[in-house]
Amino acid sequence: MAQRKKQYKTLIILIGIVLFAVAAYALTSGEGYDTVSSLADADRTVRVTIKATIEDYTLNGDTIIFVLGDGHYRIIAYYSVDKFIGLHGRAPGDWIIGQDIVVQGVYTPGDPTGTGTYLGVLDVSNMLEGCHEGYKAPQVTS
Amino acid sequence: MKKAILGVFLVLVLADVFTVLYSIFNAPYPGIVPIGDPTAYRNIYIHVPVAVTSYILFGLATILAALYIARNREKYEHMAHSFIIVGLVYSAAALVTGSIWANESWGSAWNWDPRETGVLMMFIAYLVYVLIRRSIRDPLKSKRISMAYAIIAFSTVPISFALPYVVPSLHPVTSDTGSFLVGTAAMIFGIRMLLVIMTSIMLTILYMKGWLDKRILVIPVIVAIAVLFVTAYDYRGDTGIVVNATLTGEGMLLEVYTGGETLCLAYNGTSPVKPETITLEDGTVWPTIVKHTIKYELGPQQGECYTATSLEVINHWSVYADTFFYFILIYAVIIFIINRG
Repeated sequence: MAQRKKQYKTLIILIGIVLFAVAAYALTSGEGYDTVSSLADADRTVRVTIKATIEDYTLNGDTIIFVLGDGHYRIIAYYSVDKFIGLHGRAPGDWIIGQDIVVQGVYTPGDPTGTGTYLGVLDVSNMLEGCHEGYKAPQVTS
Repeated sequence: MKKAILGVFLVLVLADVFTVLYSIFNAPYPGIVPIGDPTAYRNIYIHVPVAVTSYILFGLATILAALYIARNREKYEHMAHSFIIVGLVYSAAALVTGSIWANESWGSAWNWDPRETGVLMMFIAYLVYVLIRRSIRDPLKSKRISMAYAIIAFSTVPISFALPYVVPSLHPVTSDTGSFLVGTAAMIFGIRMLLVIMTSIMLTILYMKGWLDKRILVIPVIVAIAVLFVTAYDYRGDTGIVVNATLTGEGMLLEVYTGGETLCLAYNGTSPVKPETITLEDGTVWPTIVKHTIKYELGPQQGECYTATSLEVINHWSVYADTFFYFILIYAVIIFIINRG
């Protein structure tokens, strides 16, 4: 009887410790965003979420080609124009230059231009953005 | 007594249904948003009250669990258990409605954002409570151990709440939403918050006493199904996203993205979004219809543009989806739990 009681107590304590460990992990790794510089160490194709600044862009058919940077390194990123318009409600233009974005996608190291300007290429699957700024806008109704 | 309480509950459920419908069709939302359709922000009136309510229910359960441990009275255990079961349903609803909204307004439904992860952890922590309670055969031992565990599980509540304050997160904090929640928006949001909290506590009390009348719970489920029909109606016909707008004296010239091509649309009428424009900090005049999803009927082509014989702004589908899942998860799931005993 006393043995079982002890087992239950141990079980609860263990679950408690696991919960705290997961919470601590979520707390410390919560930022979750890599930077362009952090990709310098990548030596194979990896799935990443990075925060970067749009330094330049070009349109190639239905693809936007971004140059993303963080002041130290640059990468090239591809994204669908259709998805971009669907998200932002307007076509890409000069207004995007200088904006900070968070993008998820598959990163492959290696400069496709062969000039050594870029660390690698990111095939973007999702563009993420917080909604903090949205709440500063005036109210509307429809 | 039972009739009176059920009467109050019926009024609360009807008020809940009415205010949800009012919110999704009439409540204000931010005129300019970073990503997605601005109307998706009407989800604030559904998702946030549900999420806050789940914290409150787990908080009440913790107080009652502590009382049970301290005083060893059965009624506290029974009450704590009921609050946890209803809290679990609300936290599930918070996860589902939040993900649907995030898909539009953050760009991805699930991305391990600190708050998302925190709420998921909280949900799992309380699911483990149910498993512990069911896995111990001795009733007395089951109650004491699961109540002790429930107190530990509460640690996930302040953690999930605090995460966006201490680490960068896509999730806004009170200081962000505070600047939007003024005037009409604040009033509607406050009423929604109050109603959801009151409904959840009444649901718990009635569930605890075994007094819940399933006929009352069927009302919101029927409304949920009706919302599906509204969605189908709204998205039937020609729809598109306004990517650019020029307000002329007589009407509007719109560039509408229809999923593959951009259409020029001339409309002789006022914008359905009020106010029609917002002046930005840099002096730019922003037509508020931009980024909205519109439904229109095409008239004859004039030059490079088509004329629109009718034009209306429709809610983003995430607003209807969240309404549907709110009613289904809160009310239909509770019916399911009652039926399972």
